[in-house]
Amino acid sequence: MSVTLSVNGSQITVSDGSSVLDAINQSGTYISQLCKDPDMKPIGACRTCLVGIDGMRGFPASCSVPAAEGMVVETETDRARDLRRGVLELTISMFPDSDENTNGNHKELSIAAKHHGLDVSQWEGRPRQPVDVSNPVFDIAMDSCIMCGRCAQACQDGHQFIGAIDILGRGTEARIGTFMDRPLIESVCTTCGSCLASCPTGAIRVKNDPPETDRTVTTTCPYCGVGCGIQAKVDVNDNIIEILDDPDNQSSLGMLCVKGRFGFSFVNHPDRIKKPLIRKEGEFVEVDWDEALDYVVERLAEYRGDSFGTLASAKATNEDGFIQQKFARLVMGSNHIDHCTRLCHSPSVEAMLTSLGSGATSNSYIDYEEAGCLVIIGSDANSNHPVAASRMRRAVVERGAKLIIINPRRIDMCDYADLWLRPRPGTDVALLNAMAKVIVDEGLADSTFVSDRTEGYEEWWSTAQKYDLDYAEKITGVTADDIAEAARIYASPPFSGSCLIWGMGITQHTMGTANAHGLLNLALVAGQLGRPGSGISPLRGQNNVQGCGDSGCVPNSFPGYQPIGEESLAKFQQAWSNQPLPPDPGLVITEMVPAMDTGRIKAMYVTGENPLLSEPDLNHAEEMFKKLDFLVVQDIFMHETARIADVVLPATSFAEKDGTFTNSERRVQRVRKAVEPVGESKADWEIIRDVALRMSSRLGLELEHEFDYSHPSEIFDEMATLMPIIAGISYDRLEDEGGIQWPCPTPDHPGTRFLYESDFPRGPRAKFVGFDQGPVAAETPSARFPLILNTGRVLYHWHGGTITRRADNLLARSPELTVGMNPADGEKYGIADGEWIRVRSRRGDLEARTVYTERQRIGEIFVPFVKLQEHAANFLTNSALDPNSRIPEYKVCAVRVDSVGEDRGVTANRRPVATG
Amino acid sequence: MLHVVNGSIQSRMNALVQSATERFESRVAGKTRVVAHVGHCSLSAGADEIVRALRQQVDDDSTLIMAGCDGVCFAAPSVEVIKPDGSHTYHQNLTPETADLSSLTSFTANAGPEAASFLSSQVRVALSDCGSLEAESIDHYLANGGYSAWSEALQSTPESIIDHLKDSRLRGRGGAYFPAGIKWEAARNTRAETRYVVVNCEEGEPGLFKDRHLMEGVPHRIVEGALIAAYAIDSHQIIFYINAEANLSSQRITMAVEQATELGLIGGDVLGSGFDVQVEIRRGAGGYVCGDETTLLNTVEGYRREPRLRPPFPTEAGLWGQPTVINNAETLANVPYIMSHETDEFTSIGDGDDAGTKIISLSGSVKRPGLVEVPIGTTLRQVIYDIGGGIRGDRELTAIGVGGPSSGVFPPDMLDTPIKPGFLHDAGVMLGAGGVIAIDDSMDVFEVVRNLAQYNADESCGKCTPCREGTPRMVELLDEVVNRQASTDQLENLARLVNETSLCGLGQAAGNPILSGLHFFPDRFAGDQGAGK
Repeated sequence: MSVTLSVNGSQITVSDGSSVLDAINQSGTYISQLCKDPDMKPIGACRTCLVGIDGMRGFPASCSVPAAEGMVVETETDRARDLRRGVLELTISMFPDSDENTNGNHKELSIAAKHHGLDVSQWEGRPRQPVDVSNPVFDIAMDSCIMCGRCAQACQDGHQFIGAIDILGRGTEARIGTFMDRPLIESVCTTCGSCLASCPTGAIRVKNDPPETDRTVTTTCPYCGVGCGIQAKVDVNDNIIEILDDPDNQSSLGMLCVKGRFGFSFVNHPDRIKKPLIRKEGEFVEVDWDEALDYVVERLAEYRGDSFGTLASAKATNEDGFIQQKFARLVMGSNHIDHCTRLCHSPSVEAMLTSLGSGATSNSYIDYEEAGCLVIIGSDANSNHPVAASRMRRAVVERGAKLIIINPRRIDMCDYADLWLRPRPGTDVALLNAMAKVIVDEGLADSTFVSDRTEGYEEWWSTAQKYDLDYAEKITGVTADDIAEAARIYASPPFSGSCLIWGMGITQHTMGTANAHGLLNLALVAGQLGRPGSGISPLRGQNNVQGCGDSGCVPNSFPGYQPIGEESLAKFQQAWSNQPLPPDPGLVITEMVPAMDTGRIKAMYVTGENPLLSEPDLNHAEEMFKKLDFLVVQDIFMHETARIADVVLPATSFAEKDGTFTNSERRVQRVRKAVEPVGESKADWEIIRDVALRMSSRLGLELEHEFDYSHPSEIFDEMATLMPIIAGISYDRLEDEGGIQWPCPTPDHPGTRFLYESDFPRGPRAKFVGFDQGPVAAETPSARFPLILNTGRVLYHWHGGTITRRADNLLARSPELTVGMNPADGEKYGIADGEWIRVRSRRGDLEARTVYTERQRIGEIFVPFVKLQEHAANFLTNSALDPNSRIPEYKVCAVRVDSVGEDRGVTANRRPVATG
Repeated sequence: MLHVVNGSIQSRMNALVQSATERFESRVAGKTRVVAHVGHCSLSAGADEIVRALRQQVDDDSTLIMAGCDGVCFAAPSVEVIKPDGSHTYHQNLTPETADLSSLTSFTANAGPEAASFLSSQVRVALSDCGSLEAESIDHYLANGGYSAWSEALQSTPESIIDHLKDSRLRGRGGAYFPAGIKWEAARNTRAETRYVVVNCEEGEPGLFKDRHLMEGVPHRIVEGALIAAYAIDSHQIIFYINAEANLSSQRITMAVEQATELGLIGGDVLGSGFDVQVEIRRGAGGYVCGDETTLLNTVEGYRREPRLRPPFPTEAGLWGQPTVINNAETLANVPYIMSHETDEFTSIGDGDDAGTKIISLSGSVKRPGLVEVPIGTTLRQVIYDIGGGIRGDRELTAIGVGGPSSGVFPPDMLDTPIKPGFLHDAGVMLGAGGVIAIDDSMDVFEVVRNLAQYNADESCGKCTPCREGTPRMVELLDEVVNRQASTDQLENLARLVNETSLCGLGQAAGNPILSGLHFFPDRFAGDQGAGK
């Protein structure tokens, strides 16, 4: 439906629900609009979009009048202009300094004033509140604020759902402030910068004014798996100066978090590796590309076949991943290729492959918004997937969805929860089995779904039925009532369906695969799968961890999850010059490491990963890597793994290359080159192409034509021909339509919002798989190591911190490692709040600052796994593996804490700011 | 009048009325009733001391009835004595010394001729029996026909109730005068799972005290009107929004709701009709702007006290996004009368299209300040002179403040202006919620206007630019104008700018005191004498 109205004599047709202001904007006529953000609801505060409308009294604010058929709108009558000018004059006069009290450099306000011929206000300026400089990234300067309210709107319910800032005070005392009028840094502000992005006058501004923009490039955020759209602003010197949100991106809807918006300075950090390096007589020596590539080829040629292993990067593009697995299989003859998913979601993938036949998130972020119930288990979405978390909060706040949090740690999302279950670490299997039993016992199971679309029910039930509520209460520490209530809400949400959302709290356990099956069984028994507003979501960590697996960087299948077998071997051999391919599945990373010890793996090619920070029990892992004959690391920074390599090849960051990322909701999105490569760095796909070409000619493999790519789009075209899940996607479509969600089998297919509507990749039926609760963890507290260590992340850092330590804004917000500790434990072990302490496990130790917090239960401490000041949680963690997925148990190990006696932190002389 | 169709509801109601009447009669039969007028204003004049004195004196032959204030403010504290034979006498301006039961009951002549004259020219619909009904007892209200309109409404259809209300041509009495029937109909016709009725008892502006008197004197009448509204729009939740300072009002409405709930007139399955309705009391968030209906909604929901954009209007998306009828207390106090009378009995009061009465809060330099309920169309002269008794002492009327800080001031030559909805004069004078303040020659009109302007600046919520920035600038300019540092044109332009560009009613009327002052009293704002008299 649309309506047509007249704007200054032109007929303008707008969609139903548009405002008169929308119609004016569409007509191309300029009209001032200081409080109306293009992506948000009208506020109506600035009163500068007043127009005349035939038949309406006075001059209404066009933002708040719905466009109606046949309306006659005039924007430029004398009275309308006079009124707008008068309001703008009052607006300018809010600035205190009389010199400023003119049409100065106040962005949208200055444009509006100029348009109305307004230079100087007849009114004197007035006093304003002091500037809030407490946030290290940006200031809130009331002396440039016109109280339009956009920043508060952006922060509040309806947009980011954070609620750090709002309008305080009445009349001319009105100001932007925080709860209890404290400095911004002490509020719940997450520094996402939505306020800054929406400010029309520059009152909220970064500490240092960015230079002028030369061009803007639309691309995709390089941090987490949410896959937010970003617009990189670049200056004439080829520096990214600012990142803006992309309101057209269907995954992020114009939102960003602190990392996406402010964490870009790593791109041009002086630490970037700018030339290839070869270790000569123990020292790295800068060499040119020819020498480096020849050396790599020369050495690697000795290790073709079973002794070669490679790690692909979940931060790199799909095209980078595809060419890497092609190189490994076709040129090096090895299936030993893996990536970091082994360390995060391999239990989820393992369980989903067994039960459903596909390892992807089944639904989309929009399903969170439409769900009647969200269960978030083992995921601190606010810290790790901030924009997806905003969309979850939208469901709760705007649509009244029920929110159930299952987490031993009190995460911020608990503020929105209807129910928070706090199980003992490692007891999820018992909890999930008990929930399933309630669903069955109380007749809440979806019996049609179970009988028509599942198998293995009876066998599973023989396991699950043992978990009555009292038994589960004993194991988990969650009351029977809460378990039952959670089960009831999940199985019978107040409207629509229920979504299960989980993270590393489920997977990084020795029971990881069992936990994931527990979740899948729950979804199957309640039939919460395969329709809008329902589904299962393992939230993906890395920006392209989905795509890295999709493109074949796994040891047991070809691209597009085509398991290695006769059929797929034939297909890929035929596609790839009828060359032989290794017929057996290769080793996963957690198997490759021990294989270094036994001498089976002798050479490794590591791209964009830092296993010597991300592996558990780092001291042991380093020993293993040092046993390799030959190690190539291809990355943007010199990190722990690169430091022991034989060759280091300088790769480009996301900002310097083209390609695609696939996000957590299976949306394939374009990555576009914004700046030229730093130094002599090259895109991963270029480097591997060059290695492959040289290797082919060195060994006479005659495979040069298989790597003859000049642009990533050519790689993508090949992927589309070989991978049915993305067969219908092309760069042209991504250009025209934005991101597309796979499966997308044909060029006219719109993409797929949710999976499993009628069947499953494994067949018509999904499979119940029952597990009993096993030992809660491989390592439990003892007299010597009395505390349980839980690891995770903080909002301001990315994983191990190799990147975010080099993003000034993020480091400023969170400069040192913190240990979250319950005050009762502090008292028990004689550790004061803010004290610098040492944490030890059987495997290593770290130093960090204590932060007292009720988030942690007594007896449990929390350390994010970022490495700051050379301290990292993975020196402590246990390498015990889940037998099914081979994931290490990062989430639980036993530790002790001791005072260090002196403060060695970087904020030793500053007031500490809690970030944990 | 609504027409009864359900005998079962009616018989339950009859039983309620009968037992209430019996209870009340058993307390008062054969006794002399001493009716004390206790409201927030008479309390400040010492009514509590009078009540304390009388309470100690009542004996087997007499009983003390606590009524609300009858609006005869100048007579407070006052009591009315009603003997078993029906004769009654009025005693005004009592002191603890003169509050002597035996002497009060021995009077045979009416001791309050002034009060009688003040009351006799009024037509009391909303205020009827205010001051004689026992304020804290549902029994007396029921015995006097109270809740019969509610019972009849339940036996009628919502549509016929709305039609009847539309026929009555009742307009909202909070100051905007929107037709009440159309508002109800709009809310009813908006598809929704749930709807709300909000009773706006914020009454935040200076010089206005009618809603407080209604809540204190006839709380059940407002509750009854709200219940009928809820039934008519298919709402099951009523919220009373009572000014944060109006403690006695809140106390009496709360008591009324409890009593009506206890008798089954509120709650589940009211009188066996199958209709469920609950009532909740909320206190105002402080500030004039909270009387703006969308600001009121924001504060009920826990948001900042600032207006929302319209559209959507509250009848489409009000409280918690649901269709909501927001009616002023006085509006709802008219509803029981309208429902239990034929249409023309109501429309014959007033002035043609503008049916019914309006309660004027009369204050200032008049001899007889108080609550004046008169037919719409009554002139200001009748209000100030015939009812108010003219100007106190030997002073002269120099100006009339009409409608509070959102309106303006009239000169004496406008005394023959009839009161009616909307603007009384296009220089920014409107009736508003009905405050009339007589200003005599001991006061300076400039100061009155400046006061009103300052009030608006102080009460601006700060959301929209013209009101937040413009209202204080108006005060500054007023001072500059009298000091001849600025022109009256500048002042007038600013006042018009703020009026024409502001978001809500407060800002859109904030220039009116100045515009009317400039129009009617140009000499006071410029010229040699300026304001310096």
